[in-house]
Amino acid sequence: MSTWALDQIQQQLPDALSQRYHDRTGAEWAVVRREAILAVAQAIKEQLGFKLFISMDGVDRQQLPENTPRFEVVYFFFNIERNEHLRLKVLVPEDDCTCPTIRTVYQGANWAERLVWDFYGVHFTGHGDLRRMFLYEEFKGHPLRKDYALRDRQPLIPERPIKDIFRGPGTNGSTA
Amino acid sequence: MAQDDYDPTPDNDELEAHLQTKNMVINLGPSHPAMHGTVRMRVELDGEILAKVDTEIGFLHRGFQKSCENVTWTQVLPYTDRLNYVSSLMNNFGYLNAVEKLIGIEIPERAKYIRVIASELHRIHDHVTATGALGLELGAFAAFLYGIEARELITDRVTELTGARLTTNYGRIGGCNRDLPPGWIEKTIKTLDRCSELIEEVGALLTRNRIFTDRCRGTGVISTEDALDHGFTGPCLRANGINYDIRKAKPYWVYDRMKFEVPLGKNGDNLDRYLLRVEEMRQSISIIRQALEQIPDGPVIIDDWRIVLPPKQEVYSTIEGVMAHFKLIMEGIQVPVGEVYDSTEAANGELGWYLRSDGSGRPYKVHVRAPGFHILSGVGKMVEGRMLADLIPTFDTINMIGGEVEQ
Amino acid sequence: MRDLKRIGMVLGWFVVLGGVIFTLMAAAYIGAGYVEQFGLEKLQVRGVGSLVNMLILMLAFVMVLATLLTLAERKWSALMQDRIGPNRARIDLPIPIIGPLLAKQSLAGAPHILTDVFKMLTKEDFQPAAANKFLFNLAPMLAFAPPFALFAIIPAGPTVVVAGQKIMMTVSNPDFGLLYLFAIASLAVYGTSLAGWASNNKFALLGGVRAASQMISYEVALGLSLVGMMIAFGTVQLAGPTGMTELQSHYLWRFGGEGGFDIGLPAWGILLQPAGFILFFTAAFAETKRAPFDVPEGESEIIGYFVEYSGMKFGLFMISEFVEVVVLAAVLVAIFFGGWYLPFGNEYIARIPVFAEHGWLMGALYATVFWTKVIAMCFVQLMIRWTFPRFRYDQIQTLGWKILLPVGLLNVFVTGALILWDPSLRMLAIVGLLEIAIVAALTLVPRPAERKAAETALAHAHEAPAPAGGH
Repeated sequence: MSTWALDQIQQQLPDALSQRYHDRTGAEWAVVRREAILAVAQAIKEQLGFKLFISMDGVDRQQLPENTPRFEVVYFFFNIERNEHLRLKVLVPEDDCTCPTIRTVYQGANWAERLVWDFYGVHFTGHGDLRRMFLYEEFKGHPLRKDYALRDRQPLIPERPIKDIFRGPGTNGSTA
Repeated sequence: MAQDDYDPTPDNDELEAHLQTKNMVINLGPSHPAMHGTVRMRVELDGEILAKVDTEIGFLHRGFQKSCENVTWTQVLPYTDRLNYVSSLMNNFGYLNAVEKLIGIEIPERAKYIRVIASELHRIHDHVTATGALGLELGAFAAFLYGIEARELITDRVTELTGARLTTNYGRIGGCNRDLPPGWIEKTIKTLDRCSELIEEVGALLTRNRIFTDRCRGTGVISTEDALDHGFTGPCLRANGINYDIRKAKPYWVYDRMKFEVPLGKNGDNLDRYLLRVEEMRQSISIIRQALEQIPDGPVIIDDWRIVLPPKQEVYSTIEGVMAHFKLIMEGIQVPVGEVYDSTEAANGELGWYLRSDGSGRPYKVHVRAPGFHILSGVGKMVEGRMLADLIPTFDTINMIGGEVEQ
Repeated sequence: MRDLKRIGMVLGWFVVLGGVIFTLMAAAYIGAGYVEQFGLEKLQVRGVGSLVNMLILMLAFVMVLATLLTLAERKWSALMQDRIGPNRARIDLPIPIIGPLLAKQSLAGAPHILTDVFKMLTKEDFQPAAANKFLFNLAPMLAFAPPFALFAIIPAGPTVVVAGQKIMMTVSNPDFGLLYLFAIASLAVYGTSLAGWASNNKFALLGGVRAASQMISYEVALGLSLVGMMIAFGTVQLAGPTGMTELQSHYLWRFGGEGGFDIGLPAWGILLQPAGFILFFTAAFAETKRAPFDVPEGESEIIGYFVEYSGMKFGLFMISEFVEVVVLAAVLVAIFFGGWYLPFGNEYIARIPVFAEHGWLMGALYATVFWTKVIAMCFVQLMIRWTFPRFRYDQIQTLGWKILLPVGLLNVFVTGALILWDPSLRMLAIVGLLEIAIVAALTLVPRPAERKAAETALAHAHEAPAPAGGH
């Protein structure tokens, strides 16, 4: 129950949180306004002691009753001293599918944000190295969006030309 | 040449021009003996030094989340086996625990004990594989094979319990799908006796070996800040001296009734991680012994036909049974609308599940927080600037499992 | 029970190999004797017999032993590692009764030798397109030849009279003895580094560079480690009446048995120069490139300098490794373990009339002793190879330059001083025995409790403050 942490966030950044609610197990969640997520991440890491980056992922709300804005990005952090998890959410609309990166605060968010970009197409501004995590760069679409069919097929991609392959020193492949 | 033109110091530019070298770029993987599963590392080598490491994963990606979103809650279970295939029982139970939290049910005592016993068996299974593989890849093949004997014994017990060697698919929402087989407890105690002998033997082969400790000590070091930042959990975080074990921090099932210690390291290097895993195996053995003593009689699964399949007798003889069976099979368990984040302590760290239900029989979203994914993201930091050979023990002690990392 | 079976298995191999050796060596002596006689009488040429030596010792014997070692390594490593070992290859002959019977037997894995050979010979000989063809093909030969040539100076048996001819069981006995060994041993590096370079593969290149640097740095320690022995015996020859083998049959202290079964403490190199033995063993082990010094191969890191080789070319690299093991064991035995001599009773055996009468019998007996020692040393090497993890590259260099080299230098000075003080070698032997005792004590004395605790230097969490309750 991260009530304490959410109270603190609300105190320090009064207009960062747009909504707070409890889930079925009694754990409390907060929806963070999109612009404020970086400031919140900084505050919880440096002042509230949520040093352990747990995870993040996206949700496509297209088929849920409440479906605008379309995407959610969920964040989980952990405070070891207080032994509590923090659950945050950011809502991302479909037409402006971007979200500020928190990679600058938590290094672990690097891969996690790449994963969300890969699966949901949420573009993290300021990430700097936003390649796909699991899929290949030529992949069309984002597979975890609900409108990506389960058995969708991908087009064949041309082989990369051989001159792109780096050849190191050797008898025949010197690049010197 | 005039005398005053003479410069006794050699021309620096020229000297360095001869020494100019280029870093060699090599691909370690995706199929390379050191890369567990299929990881590709694009490595820049300055002689033997790793100048730059770029880890690329995804060669084993199987669309875990997409698959889960298109099957019923119960049918997700076999997919979880394939996450960390070395300790599949813990994935099964972690997922089940999260679903049960979401539904809001409490499983019977006996099922809790069985889950603890099976989890710890697979924790030993996982750690013994990791330490054995560490020996194997450093060249001490014998240690690996002694570890494999222990692993085989555990696999036998798991086979008797679940019917499968690796992909166990054991446990159901609301408890376990079958009770302990008769005589299993005695056999398991014997297995544990032999396992602790073998673990000590492997420990003696490796821990007291100077070459081994030299290879491991001070290599693959990660600072505590970086470890937390990257989301290290489990043995890899505890090797830095951070006491975070969910079994103690937020006890689930019956871990609060067990007496065990959580070993902590100091330096966050490979040796600490290795020693920690060996010590955790000893603690796991002690936990299983306690649990086998304390385990009560009783049902192993709750009696609620909305969640659990009715017994076959009822299905064949009563209309309610047939209906419940049909609904459960065709539509799946009706998990109430909501979301939950829940985590258990798997062999490599915090195994978190973020589940979301839209009230239908299928999960709307299954996010798995695989411990290995976050640990692997920090590998570059652990080995950059070190020697190529240091990559090997580092990769082993973090115990990267392709299945869970690449989902 | 299990352990007894394992020990029995090792001893069984020794008995089988011993029988093979005895037969082969007896044939070698007799063959050499009669060929020599034939040469003298018909061709008026002396020394034809050593041609037989060369053929039998170098081709048949070392090859056979190396081939058997491939199997022995698998079987022995299996019993060190808690597994069964190869037993699946079967011989299925189309003969009515024996055929099916034979097909049921695993023959202790012996058919695996054949299957190995066929596998190597029938595999595609693959060459990378961008490799330098000439060097690529030259490298396995260069790697294969030196270990063989090394064997030329090893005395595998005593000099006896067969068919009226003096037969020496060594191919040649040059005056420069051990120097030949150093010279040829250093040639082996060309094969590996060429293989690494010519493959046009970055992993192979890394392996080749590692091999070159490792072998070159261990040359120094290798040479230095034997200087002590050269000082002690005053010779660099191995065979011959003034060679090291002969000198090692003398007693340092004789405990009796004048006229009867003589017993005493022989002047074996291991007693005189234990430090030299350890240094030489380590350095030479590093030269064979086997674990724990298999950094050039490093199968889990860079796969090795021979990563591009297939079929019999890879087989040459592999077999040359085994030949190196055999040769290293033979050199060790010749220098440090009294060559073909038994530790005691040599004079007694020499007086037995049967042996005096039939030179070949005595020769074969002593040669069997020699080869048994060699196999025992091979076993030691395999044991090390199968239990030790691999060094890291910089650790190998540290060991070579910072430990072996200074200790080697110190050993030379100490040996020289002791020889000056007491030329009868007894003082040297006392110091040597002391060294052995110290090493044994350091190994056997149990660790103090605090060091044991330090090894599992893990603070337990129950001392750490319990985390605050939550969730």
